Formats: sequence, structure tokens, C-alpha cells
Amino acid sequence: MKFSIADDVFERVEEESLTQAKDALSKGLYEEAEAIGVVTLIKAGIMTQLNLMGMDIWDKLRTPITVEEISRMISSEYGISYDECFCDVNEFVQDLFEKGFLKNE
Amino acid sequence: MNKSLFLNTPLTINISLSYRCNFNCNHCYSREQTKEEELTFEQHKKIVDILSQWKVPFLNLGGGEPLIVPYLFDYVKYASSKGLHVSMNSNGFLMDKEKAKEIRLSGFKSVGISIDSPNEELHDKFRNRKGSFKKAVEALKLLAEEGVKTTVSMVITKLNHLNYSEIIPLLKECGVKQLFLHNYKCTGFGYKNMEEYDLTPAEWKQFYKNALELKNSLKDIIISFDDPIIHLIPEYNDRPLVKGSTCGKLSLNIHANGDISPCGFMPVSIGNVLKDDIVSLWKNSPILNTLRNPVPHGKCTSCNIYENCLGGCKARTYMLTGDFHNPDPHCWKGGE
Repeated sequence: MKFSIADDVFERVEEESLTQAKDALSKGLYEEAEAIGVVTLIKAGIMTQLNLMGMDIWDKLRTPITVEEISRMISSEYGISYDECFCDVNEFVQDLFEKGFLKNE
Repeated sequence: MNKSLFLNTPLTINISLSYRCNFNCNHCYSREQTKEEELTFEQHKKIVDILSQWKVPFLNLGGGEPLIVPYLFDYVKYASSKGLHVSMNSNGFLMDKEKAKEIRLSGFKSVGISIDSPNEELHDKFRNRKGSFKKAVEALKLLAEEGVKTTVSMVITKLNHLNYSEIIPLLKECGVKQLFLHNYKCTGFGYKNMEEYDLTPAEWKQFYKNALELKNSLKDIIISFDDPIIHLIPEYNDRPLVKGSTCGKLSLNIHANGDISPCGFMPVSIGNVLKDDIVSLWKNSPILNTLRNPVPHGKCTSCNIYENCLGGCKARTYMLTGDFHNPDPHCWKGGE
């Protein structure tokens, strides 16, 4: 099943937070970077924030894509095992789908 | 990958273009501000530029009555051209076919009309204006004809807490998709008239219990609340955007003279939008930091709901107790 960004989702990059997250990452402070929300999403009164990896996945969802395809890309880009990636990506995508930020086809 | 909330700038700015109003409502928070100096159209355009630069997405016009403002539609066109999603709250009295069309053409995303009772006579009495109920309903119909999204705002008082739900058929008839049930704010005339209109904590409890049942029973109209103490109702399971009050966390209020407050109902200023660096205020204002980091006082210290309600409505608490950290006077817990 392919997922993509739903209609009428408002998104805003939190520029200062993005700089902070990238800075933390460059210093090897992975946990700190992971805890920083860099993109705010809003749809119909529901709001959430994504961190750097969430933003990467969000960008991949601009065109219809499966969880398996995203997991392969993230696995390769971040050097994480496919199985671990699939678990996290699947949970992430399902959560955004349930909140109305994604549609499926 | 979903993170806890932190915003570099607000998501919503509530702004008054003018304090002036054609009504004299019994609960009005801003009627006594009419003598303060108001900014010009050019100054308001500068504010739009600042908000656009901040990437603030949502701009809601209140007041004062926005339809009184002579440059309203030029202002909305300008704000829309800068990428802002503009909405407004109006009493609807000055609405006519031409204005409804202008509202659509200028780029309004939605318009909220105030109706404070399903009973025409009680609404007109509360709003101190005969014919105001009929005009509000007519406004909703004119906007619907233009295809403009509408909402209705109702302030809960002694006048309507038992029969507010009777408004639902009318909302359906007018194509309204959302009903905001606002808690009674004790600011301005709302403070002066609270003995007559505000509910007791026990009445608030019963109101929220019933309103939540109504909300869950409706499929075609969304009912929304703005009162953090609704978390005290066990059946309430919404996941709000932020814990506690949203003022100073998601939104700010800009008065007609440019002064900024966490919300329109708090008579405190954290600075002025044309004189101060608003990003710096958003990050460093001691008042905003107090609101974002509440400390439980009194009965809140032992309350198992506190982490969700964070002490309730901060405007009401501040007005009635003088301390943001005190328990919300509307809270019924411990008094049952």
C-alpha cells in the first residue's frame, strides 16, 4: 500500500530548531538531536511535530510510496538494519495516517 | 519521530484592528479599551509583514467588530497575499449580500458569528441589541450562499447553559460545521457582570458533562471547547494541541494599539508589536515563561488531572486570584 501527504495539511519548518538539531547531530549528540521538533504539521485542529529523521521520511511521502520503500531508503541513508527501520517507519506512518496527515492509495 | 511541542513562533495571532463596536454586550472584555489609540491601516500592514516574516500561518480578527473597520477587505487581501490564513469573529449585524461577497473575494478562510442563545429574546438581551439574533442568523445564511465556511461561537452563561443544545437544528439549517462553546471570561464587562452570568463550579461540571455527551452524539457538527478544566470529565479523551491553556504557547493576542498579550482576556502586556522584537518576546517574555511553566498551587498539588489541565484557564485565574499559578476558580474538584 502506498502512502502520501493528505490534502490540506499545513506544514512549517521551525528554522531555528532545525539549525539546533543539525548542530547537535554534527557534534554527535544524537539523543539531543532526536528530541528536537523541526517541522510542525497541522490538519483540522490536530498538530504534531517531527524531528530530523521524521522530516526526511515526510519529504519522501511527497510522492506515493510504500513503507517498505521508505524503510529501504532510510536503512541505506542512516546505516540502520532494514528490520529495525521497518518497525519504526511503519509505526511512524501509521500514526500520521491515523491523525489524518497521510492518505493511502 | 513525533516530538513534543516547541514552536519557534506562534501559530495563531488574534488581532483587534479596532476597539470600536456597534454592540454593547454584557460580557465584553474590550469595551472599556475604546479610548486607547488605534494603529492605522499602514501600521497594520507592517504587522502583517512581520507576521509573514515569522511564518505565522493563522490570523484571526476580533475586536471590536471587524466589519466596522473601513479598510477591512483591503487588509485581508493584503494579509492573504502574504500567505496568512485569515478568519474573523463578528456579531454579524452589519452583514449584507455585498459584504458576504467581499468576504469571499478578499480571501477569508472562515467567519465565526456569535450567537449566545437559541432563544432570540435572550440573545438580544445579552447583546443589548434588538434584532441581533435575526441578523446573526441572516449573516450565516448570506455567507453560506457565498460558499464561505462559517462557525458559531457561544459564550456559556446562566442564560444558556441549560438550553444551548437547542441551537443545533438552526446551525444545520445554516450549514455551520463547528460550534465553539466558550467558557465565561471574567474580564472587562465580563468581570463586572460575573455575578449575574457566570456559572458555579457545580454548574460548570454539569454543563461540560452534558456538552460532551452532545459532542459525541453529533456527526455533522464539531463541538469545540476552550476550557482546560474539561479534562476533569472522565469521558473527555481529546488530544489537545498543548496541555492546559493554549495562550502564549500556540497563540498571542495583538491589541488595536499594537500591544501584545498572551490572550485577549488577560489585561497584561508583554510588549508592542511595532516597538519590540516580537521573536525575542516570544522566547524570553517572563510572563509567557510563567504561563508555559506553571507551578501547581493549592488543590492542584494533589490533583491527578493537573498534568492535563495545568491549573485551567489562566486568564480567568489571573483575573479572579491575581496569580497565574492558583487553581482555576471554575474547577469543581474538591467541592463535590
